[in-house]
Amino acid sequence: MIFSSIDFIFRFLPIFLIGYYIAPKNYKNLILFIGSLIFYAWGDKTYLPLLLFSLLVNFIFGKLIAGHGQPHQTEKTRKIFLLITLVFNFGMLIFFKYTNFLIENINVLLSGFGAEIPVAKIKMPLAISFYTFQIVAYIVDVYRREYKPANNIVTLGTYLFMFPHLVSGPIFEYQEIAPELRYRNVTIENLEKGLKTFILGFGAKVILANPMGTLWAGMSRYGYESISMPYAWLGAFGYSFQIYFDFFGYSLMAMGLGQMLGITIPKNFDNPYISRNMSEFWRRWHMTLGRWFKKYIYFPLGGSRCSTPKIIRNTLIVWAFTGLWHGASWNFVLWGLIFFGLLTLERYWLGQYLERFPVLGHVYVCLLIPLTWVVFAMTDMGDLGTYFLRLFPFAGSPDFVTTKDFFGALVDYWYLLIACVFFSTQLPEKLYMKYREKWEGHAVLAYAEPAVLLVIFIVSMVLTRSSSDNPFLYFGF
Amino acid sequence: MNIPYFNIDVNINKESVLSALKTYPLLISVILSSVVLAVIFAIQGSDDAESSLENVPALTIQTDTTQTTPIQNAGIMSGTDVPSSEMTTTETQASPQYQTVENDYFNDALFIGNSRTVGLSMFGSMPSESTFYATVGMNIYDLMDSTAQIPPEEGPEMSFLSLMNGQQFGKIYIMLGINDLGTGTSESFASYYKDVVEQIHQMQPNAIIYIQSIINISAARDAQGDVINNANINEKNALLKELANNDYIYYLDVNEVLVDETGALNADYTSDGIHLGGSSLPLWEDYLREHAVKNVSTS
Repeated sequence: MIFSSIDFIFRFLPIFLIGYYIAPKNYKNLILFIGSLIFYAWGDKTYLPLLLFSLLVNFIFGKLIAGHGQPHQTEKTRKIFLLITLVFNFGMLIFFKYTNFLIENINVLLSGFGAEIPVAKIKMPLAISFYTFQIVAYIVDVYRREYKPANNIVTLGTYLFMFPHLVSGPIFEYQEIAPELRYRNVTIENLEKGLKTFILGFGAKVILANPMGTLWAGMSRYGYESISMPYAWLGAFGYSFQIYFDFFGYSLMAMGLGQMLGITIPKNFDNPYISRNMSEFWRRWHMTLGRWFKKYIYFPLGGSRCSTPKIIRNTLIVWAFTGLWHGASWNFVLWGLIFFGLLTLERYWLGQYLERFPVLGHVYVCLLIPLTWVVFAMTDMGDLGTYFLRLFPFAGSPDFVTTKDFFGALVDYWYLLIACVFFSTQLPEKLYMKYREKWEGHAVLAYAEPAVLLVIFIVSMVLTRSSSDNPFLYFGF
Repeated sequence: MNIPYFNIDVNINKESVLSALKTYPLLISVILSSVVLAVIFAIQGSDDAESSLENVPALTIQTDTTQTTPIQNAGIMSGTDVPSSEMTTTETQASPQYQTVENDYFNDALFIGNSRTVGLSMFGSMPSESTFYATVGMNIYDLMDSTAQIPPEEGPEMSFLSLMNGQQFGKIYIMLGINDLGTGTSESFASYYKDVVEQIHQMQPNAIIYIQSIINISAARDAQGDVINNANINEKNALLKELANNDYIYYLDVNEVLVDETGALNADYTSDGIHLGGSSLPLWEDYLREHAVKNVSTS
């Protein structure tokens, strides 16, 4: 169940909120925990017991690793418990997410001998990628004695499973919300505030990301070999906007839901497309993921405080895993390695020029990021090659290719593209702050803001209804 | 009112309602509009359920010449009335003798269709004199009341009826149905299709009407398991085939050159499993060139 669906907004959320708000303080965590399990089961019934089992294992081992109340617990046994827990957690992720990828690659190697391993029928548990990173953060921090383990399995379960961030993050640390798990202010004011954030995210997803997704889907309609060069570039930009507003919108909705519950969920995006180099881009894009890789992989390897070859090695490891984490397919590995290449290039050579000439930096980011997203989007390497030949048609174009496709799409999407550019910058926020200061205290402000948000909400709701929940009203082809 | 356990005092009066509205304007308005939207959606939902049961509004062509047809009422028939006896000819003649023709055969052809035909128009090699009436999402039920850009995706908007009224075509190729897979039954689809073809014939009495089979979809797309599947398409195609009278209505099974041995659209010809790629369109075009009828017997 995604946040931008009728089921979530009209069924799950209101019922849950009523239960949550009338529940006595001491039971709010339990209600949130149970609500989150229902939310999970709505999307994936099969693996709910597995996730609960994993929770139990991690709760017990978290205590063992901390050695709390067991003075004889030696450093060595703590380390052994840590290793067992890490193997268990990463083992689950690897088994469910990467088994078939491994089999496919072994099959390629074996094909010379005429042998083949059948592909396993493994369905990936919902949320496993984010869940694993979240639980590993907890276990490692407990091992490092950064904080004490959760003393109550419901508290740990609430932290891990709470539905605002269960499926797609943000990934945050236990200590960030531990105080709020003990005590938090659940007020109607928070509900009002959270609703604002939620609606902004809902609008970003439904009004901007979804149509950009349709634009992108147009690329494959008549085959990648049929698209003209300007249309291919338009598609790359369209996909860049789709993936940004989709994920940014989702993260805003998560933040808004957190606010409604009295829980602070960290920011995940900070206008990434206005960056001037790739390292800045990755400080602004999916911020909580970058933070995780830094803390649990990059720094333990020595980070940037070591010799040049080691820094390069560390960067390579981080980006190979970042790529692989996004999906079990070679294009994701390639995508990660491209960022490794660009970041290394920036560190040792290009960075200084980008620093000196900000315009150059913006052009560099705005042209390269869409290309990296194309690599991200194409799980088929053959398609990827075809697409790049259309982006850079040095080899010439087939006779039937025409720029009609570009102009046709431009007529349909120009206003949305302008809106996407506008909302990718800091301009909307700046304008909002300016207008707030100017009209502070006026009744106009008090009603204009909710009125605008209400319009966004109604438009998004109607769009959601007419596209996804009513497939027969929407003729796709 | 006091709820002791939760320690909440609830005092409902005009003042408290106003102050609540002032403090939580968004929350209250969102809740109210949600209730309204939920009611609207529920009503719409029950309408949809009804219409899919009842299928579609009947579009009836009167076969009795003494009665006026809806088209005559609309005043768009220009004296080219066709006796009903000919219109209702369903007696299928012996399998038609097709010939291979040059590209100029299509100069006076009209292609009616959805996004698949838009692709033919954009990336195909039909002569520029030919006419395309095709939009993404076009379906048999909307055709008569629709408008489209001519040429697709670039030209000015024109309604279907004014196109039919403005110009006489020699051949009319129809490729519709992929967007109709979720509406009604195969029988209701075919009977509506038949009515549409007969209306077109009334407006274009000298045109040969080619009903093209709905192109099958790839095995991968078929496996997604929704209404868009090959079993559904095959069922509809079998009924479309029966609409041909081999006099002025012909059925062209373009799938003959496009499907693999399992009957699914050959995966090499498509990226998304539904549309032909630009480089595969010659297969479709060649099939049309090789399956042409030269003269139509208009008595």
